[in-house]
Amino acid sequence: MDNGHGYEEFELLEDGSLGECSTQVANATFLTISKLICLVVAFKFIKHIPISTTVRVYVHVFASTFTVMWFSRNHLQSAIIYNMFSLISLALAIKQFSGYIILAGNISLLIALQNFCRHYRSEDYFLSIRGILMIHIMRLTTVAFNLEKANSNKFRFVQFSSYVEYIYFPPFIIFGPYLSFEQFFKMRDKKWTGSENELGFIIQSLLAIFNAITLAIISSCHFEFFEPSSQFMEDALTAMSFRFSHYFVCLSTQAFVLMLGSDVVVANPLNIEFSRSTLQTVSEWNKPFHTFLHENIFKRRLFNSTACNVFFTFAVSSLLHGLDFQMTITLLALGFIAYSETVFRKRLSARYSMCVAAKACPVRSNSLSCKHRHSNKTGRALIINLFFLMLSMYHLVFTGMTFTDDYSAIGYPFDHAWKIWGSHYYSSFMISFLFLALSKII
Amino acid sequence: MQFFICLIFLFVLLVYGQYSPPSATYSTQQVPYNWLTLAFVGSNDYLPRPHYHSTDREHFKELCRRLDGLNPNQQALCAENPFSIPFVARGVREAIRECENKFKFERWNCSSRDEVTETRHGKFQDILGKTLRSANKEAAFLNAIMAASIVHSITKGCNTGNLTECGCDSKPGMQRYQAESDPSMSRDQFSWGGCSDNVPHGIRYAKKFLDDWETAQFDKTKNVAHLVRRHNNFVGREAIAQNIRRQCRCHGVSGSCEFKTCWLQMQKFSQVSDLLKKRYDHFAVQVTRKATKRLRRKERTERKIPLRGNEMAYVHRSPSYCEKNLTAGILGTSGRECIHNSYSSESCDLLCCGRGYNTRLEIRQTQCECKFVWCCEVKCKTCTEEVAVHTCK
Repeated sequence: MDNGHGYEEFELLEDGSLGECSTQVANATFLTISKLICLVVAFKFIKHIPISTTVRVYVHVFASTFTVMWFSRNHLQSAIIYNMFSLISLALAIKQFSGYIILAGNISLLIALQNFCRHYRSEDYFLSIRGILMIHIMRLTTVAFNLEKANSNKFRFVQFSSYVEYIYFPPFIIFGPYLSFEQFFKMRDKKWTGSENELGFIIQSLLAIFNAITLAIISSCHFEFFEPSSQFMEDALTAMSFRFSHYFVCLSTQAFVLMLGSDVVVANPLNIEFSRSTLQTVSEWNKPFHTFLHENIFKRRLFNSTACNVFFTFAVSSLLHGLDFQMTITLLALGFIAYSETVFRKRLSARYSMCVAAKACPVRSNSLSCKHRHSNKTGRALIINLFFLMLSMYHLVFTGMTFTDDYSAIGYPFDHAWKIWGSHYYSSFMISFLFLALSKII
Repeated sequence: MQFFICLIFLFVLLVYGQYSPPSATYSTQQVPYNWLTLAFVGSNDYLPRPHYHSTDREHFKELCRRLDGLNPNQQALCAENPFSIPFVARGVREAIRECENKFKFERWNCSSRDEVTETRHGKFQDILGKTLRSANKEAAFLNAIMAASIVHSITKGCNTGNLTECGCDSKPGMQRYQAESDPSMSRDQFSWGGCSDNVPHGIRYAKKFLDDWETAQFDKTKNVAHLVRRHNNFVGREAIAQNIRRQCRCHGVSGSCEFKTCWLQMQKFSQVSDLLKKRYDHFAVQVTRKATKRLRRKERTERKIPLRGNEMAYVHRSPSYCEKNLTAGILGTSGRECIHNSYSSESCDLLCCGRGYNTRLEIRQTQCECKFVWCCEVKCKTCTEEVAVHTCK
């Protein structure tokens, strides 16, 4: 016997749709980017307005300070911290301290700030401003090395104002990108090239923004597109989420530099996803970052040994993140994987005269192919390069799958990476040791 | 001659009269309301096809009528949302598995002797029915974990998109959730994105599925057991609602967190059952046998203190579960495996209720000398070892 009252009491259930996730992420990311786009447009016009140097410096400093306050929690703290790094570094640089000392001082200050936040249980606050401080330290270090190189006894305000303008450039404060000194002033001094060229740059920027937001949606909403059927697929999706979040930041900043009239490349996702080798992955991951490390750390050759300089470069890259064990172990892992693969492929290339080295063969002008007997087009070299391409894809999964969502906002525990790598039996490390062993044998 | 014909006619009448009473008794057979029988729902018994028109309510009513054990409210809800029943069934199976896992070493190990009745639609097995209706502490746990399983499985069904009437929560900011470390987190630079668990929908469904009937029955009969069941259902729902966490995907420079997209996520069901087991062990309250509107604690000095959302309620003290009592559905601890040198609930002294235990040697095969084989497999040898197994007398 049925009770009829069951139907009248029935309540209409709330409607949900599968597009909710994509819509929310698209709205949120565009809202964040649009604030930065306003800054980009404003400073694109400011750089063309003929105002005095003093006023320009003050505009940059105050706008940068307010940008840091605007985008971070604990506004006053962030402003104080940001300017504290600047004042200490500039004071040391003017007193002719070495660039290395200023870099070490900044990293010590960063680690001290991290310990302070950890002591007051605000690790998430440190993570929310770490990226801002990273790029800031990179710029301060660049200024320090430039001052060291200039060796100027005739230090004038005009030169000082250039440095301040370079350090305090609001569009690049939050997400970057890092520009070298030469790149920055080439962009700043670029003249207005006419409406047609500017329109082209704007279209390129909008395309980059569209791609950035699309990748951010996939990063956070990949469950709408893929359903992981195995643990490996889940790990691959976690790594993909991490990479696509990175591409979102890179492509956004790429749009900013395009709007401002620079041709600097931040990152090309296709070169990372379909990388020739892990060495290419490492350098293509963030080209401005790579430029900073290569020109300011590696090329200065603090040590005599190349291996020591490589290790030092990775150490600096790691310490710019503070004492982050997860990032440290990941960067060292990438360094080891890239090094072993490069050594092995170099031996393979020399032994069998094939174009299979970690870097692409340089094509000489007098001939259409490289010096090796088996060029890129022969089947054997193609198969080997294809194998290394797929191996690079696997290394991307291996090194990226540790960045799971459960700890990303508060910092990963000490053994997080080892536990996850253990589930893959440390296979990337095993492959790397195998390559090192094989490079001794053949 | 006519006399013989009359005798044959009477004999035939007598024979036919013998057969009619058994069929009559079958048609009047009644089964108790026990929706846990949904655990047996498979693809054969209950198969709502997607291509049926949504207004084909009569067909769904007939499908739902075949599910014995559902009360009229649940029948109506089944007819309205036929595609939710497989999720409820999956939740029941998971809850029973978790219950057996949590009570593995206790005297009551989440098992009982179930009555099996023949009905028009097949066999009706009254799963845990006697325990469920006994209004004691074990019934409180069962009600709570079953309510939690409905919330959990319906919410999961919303997320996977298999339930068309709900999806991800479109307003996660309005949900209660555990803010990490400090309340100023809400001022952080983040936005809602991702698939937030639609726990409010799961809770509404569970209330409609379980509580409406208990409320109506209490209004009719004034039996305190209905209020107790309703309260324990609430405890189960709260075990999920109070433990929703925010999960975030970071976007920033080199793994930093300048900007986040966050979503809400409920706990794994094994964690929910852990929590409910703790509440069963430490936060169970006996209530009075009579109630007018709300439950009252049995302890006279605490009568005015209302029951909290994390306190299970029961009316009757539990039996010892030591001796077999098939009328009450109790299997007893005879034959159960125990550990002789333990000091917790699985020790032989406690589990066997002082009756002693038997020991026998059992040859078991285990994996030993595991080695990593390139690439990428772990291979082990098979070793045999003798293990002493203790069982209660």
